[in-house]
Amino acid sequence: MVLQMAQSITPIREVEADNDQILVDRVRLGDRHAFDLLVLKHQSRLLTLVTRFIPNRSDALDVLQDTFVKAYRSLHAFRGESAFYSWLYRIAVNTAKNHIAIRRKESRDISVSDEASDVERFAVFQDTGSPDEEAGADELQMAILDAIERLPEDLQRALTLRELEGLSYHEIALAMNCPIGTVRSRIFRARDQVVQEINERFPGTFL
Amino acid sequence: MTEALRNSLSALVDQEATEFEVRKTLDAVKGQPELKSYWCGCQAISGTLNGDDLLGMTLVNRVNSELDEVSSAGASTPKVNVKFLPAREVLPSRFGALIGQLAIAASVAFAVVVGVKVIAPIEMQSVVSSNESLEFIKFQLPGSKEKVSSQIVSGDFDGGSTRPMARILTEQDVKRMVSERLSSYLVRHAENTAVVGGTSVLPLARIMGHDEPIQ
Repeated sequence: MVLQMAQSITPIREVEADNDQILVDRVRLGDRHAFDLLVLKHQSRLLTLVTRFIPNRSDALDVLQDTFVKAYRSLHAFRGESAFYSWLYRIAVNTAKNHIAIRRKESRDISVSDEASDVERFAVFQDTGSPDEEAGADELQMAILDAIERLPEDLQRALTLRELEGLSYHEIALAMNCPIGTVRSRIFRARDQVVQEINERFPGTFL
Repeated sequence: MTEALRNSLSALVDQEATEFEVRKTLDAVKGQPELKSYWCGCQAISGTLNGDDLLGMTLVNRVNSELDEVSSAGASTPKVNVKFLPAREVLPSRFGALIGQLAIAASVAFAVVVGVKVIAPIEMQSVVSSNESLEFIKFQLPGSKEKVSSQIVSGDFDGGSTRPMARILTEQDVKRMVSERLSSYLVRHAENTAVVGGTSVLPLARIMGHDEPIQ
């Protein structure tokens, strides 16, 4: 029902373009902190995208790093005609494809008779990250989900409508039959509680 | 890290912050690194709910270190001894520009005056050689070509130095000369007519175009 309501109202992505553009403008003026915010915002989505091409987490991180460095250097070319994420998406896909091509060429150059090289090559394509990293990330995600579960219902609902359904504040206000200011306040309080709880359980996680 | 700033950051996560809020928050992020951590936490919530992998600040630090490396490598490249030419000086003021324009105008005027003083006499000299007589064909009487010689005069033209100068005849001079000569003819003709008693040729002279009153 909420989804049907969302489809009947204005498209969500149209609302989303402006804040990123302001951040981009600040980066162009030399504000590296603004670029940090952009990286932090889009890194998880882009990592999911890149790992579809490159399952190896370490390589995927390298590709992602290259993606953001390329984006920073060619930010003057971003004209704001599309969303910033779409622009980043294209850079990430191209970088991932180039990475795969280079790796294929390198693997062809490796001598087939060298067993050590075979093992190394196998590791390169099969490794998906260290077990510790995986376990830590999983634990953090579980803690976040637990914290969200414990939120009061109105806060939880506002947060999930925003994060899972992608509704704008206006749409959530219509769905929850409350003012936009209340929606904003609820979403903020929900996030604030979760972040506080994670910082208490895992100090220094987001540093 | 005030609640208002955290609230603005939360709105910025959702692209719902006003432009003023964005600018204010970005200014605050510069001085308060914990705001960046808070932003990272908000993004972690979003990533978790959407099933994305969490990265924390790892990637940001890597990207920053690479960007810093590149910029420092650019800064540490061996310096080449390049002597820069001095920049073109800007005129001090409008007054200076005006003086320049006046100087140019004055030099042009000086060149014109010198040209008139020096070049014009030379041209005249080249046209008229010292011992050469000029022939001006001023009018033609039927059946004869009247030749008028220019008078070569010598005078104090150039500070007392004596040199032959051509006198250029104006139209008035020519008319005066013609009138003088014609008058003498007419007087002689009148005398002859009076003696002989025939028809005067004065009307014929008028028909030939010399109908101006004879002075």
